[in-house]
Amino acid sequence: MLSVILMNVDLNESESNKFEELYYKYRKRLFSCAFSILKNNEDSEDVLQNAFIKIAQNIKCIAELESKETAAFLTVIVKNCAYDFLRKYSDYTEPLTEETENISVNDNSIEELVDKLEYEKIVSVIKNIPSPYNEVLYIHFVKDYSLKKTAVILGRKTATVKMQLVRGKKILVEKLREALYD
Amino acid sequence: MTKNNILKNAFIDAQLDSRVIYTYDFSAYFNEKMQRIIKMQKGFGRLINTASKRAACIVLAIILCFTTVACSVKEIREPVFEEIKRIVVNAKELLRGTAAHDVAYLFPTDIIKIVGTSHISENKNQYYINEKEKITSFIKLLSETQWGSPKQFEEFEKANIYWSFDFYNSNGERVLEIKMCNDTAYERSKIAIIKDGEENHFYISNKIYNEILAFTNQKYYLHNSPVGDIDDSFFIEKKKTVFKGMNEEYKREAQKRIRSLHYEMEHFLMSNVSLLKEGDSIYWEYVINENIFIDPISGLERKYDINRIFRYEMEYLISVVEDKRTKESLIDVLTLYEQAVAEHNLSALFKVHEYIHDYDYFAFNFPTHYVYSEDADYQGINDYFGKLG
Repeated sequence: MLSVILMNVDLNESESNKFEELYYKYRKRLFSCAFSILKNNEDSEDVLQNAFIKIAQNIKCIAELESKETAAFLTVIVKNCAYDFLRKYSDYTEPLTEETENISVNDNSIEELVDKLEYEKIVSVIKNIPSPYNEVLYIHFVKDYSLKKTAVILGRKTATVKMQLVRGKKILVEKLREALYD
Repeated sequence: MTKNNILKNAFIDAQLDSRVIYTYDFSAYFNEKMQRIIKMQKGFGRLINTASKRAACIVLAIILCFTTVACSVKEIREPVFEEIKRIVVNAKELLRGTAAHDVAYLFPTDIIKIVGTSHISENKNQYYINEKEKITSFIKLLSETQWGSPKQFEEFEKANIYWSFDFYNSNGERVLEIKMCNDTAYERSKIAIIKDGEENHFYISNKIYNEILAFTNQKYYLHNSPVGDIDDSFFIEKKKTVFKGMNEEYKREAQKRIRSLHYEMEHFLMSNVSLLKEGDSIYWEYVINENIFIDPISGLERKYDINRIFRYEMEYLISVVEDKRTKESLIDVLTLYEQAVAEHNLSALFKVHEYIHDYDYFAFNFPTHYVYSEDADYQGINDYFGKLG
């Protein structure tokens, strides 16, 4: 309830209509996504509501109502909200990764690996990248937004997003390599 | 497909796995909350769809409630309006003045006599202030005045003085002198303070200038009526009487003419009261002969139009008014004006203003509302002087 009172969303008429259509079109799919993570109806509804407020705040990032990219972007936002919820209210801990602050991953090495793998294997690898890296990588590779904008969309600090992007790329490279030598 | 596009599509497809879409009925609570969010972004809701907009609306609602209460209760409404008027008048004065400068230290405390000299009177009249209480008030007024930043005025070097005041101590020594020059062009006054041979120049407001002069002779008030509240029905009757037998065109023209005359009269009195207080003031002759003249003190070219305007507008009103008693009353007002000018009687001119004020606000143009005009003195819009009989 408090989030509704304090929400800071100011949409124009066309954005408002777009938001309403997005809600009715995707709410069930997005609920399913939240439920698959949270396994609880009430929590999933809470997360979905917060996700839609986030969607309203980032409505300008959505170009088309009905496209795979839009559906994927909304899913990323819901997943992000769901994992945030887990981090906040349960004993969920993020998967451990090595300290990689000083390791930089060249996008060329990712592309070289992508070039050698079948498409289905790449999709399968990406599916297995855990949160929060998966969401950051999605926005980096699909939306190509700056770190600052990514941080705003995901509700994280820019420095955190920067670190998660480096770690995420390293995980992606490792998993792509594993898939290549399987 | 480029490598970049392959990765992009893979990321999109990875999000859209073949996860089962549950057939789930959202709770009523969830539906209600979502409807509220959607509604907030539509129509009227958009006005209050952010926390800052909601805060602004709450403040506005409080102000509206306060204003409604203030306007509906007479006991609250009138002081509130008075306060607003006071703030406007003070702001006007502040804007026209210059930055305050504390000069209180210049004024001695052991004064036993102040001599004021009018340089605008033919006889250079002198006024003696000997009473301790009056002297204290005079020094207090000077000490608490907002003095404009010191500036050197050429006018004083040419002995361009309207009034001067000499301050004497118990030994009969002149310890302080002030020279005053009323600058009507800028609606503020110049003052020179001379102490121990050193001369400092300042600006003060015309209001304070007139307050200082009030220590020498009578103080005049444009709107200071002793008459209490009178029922509106009385004025409605008066309006009917003055308009009796007049056609609509004459009525409208009469309303315009008396308002114009009223403001001219007010402007004349407000601007010239300090120059016309004395019967032998050199300025009375300029009022009477209506010619362009070079002000002997300021050296500026000036002209008084009030005689011409007053006669012109009054003669029109007298000619179009059909009601016999109103016509006679207006003729009396014109006669009173002619006498006041001929006899150099400022008090009588203020009385003439009271008649014009009452005929304008409480007869020809009743009920009167505030309409912005540079010349109007809005402080008197509710004052009735009882001149309508």
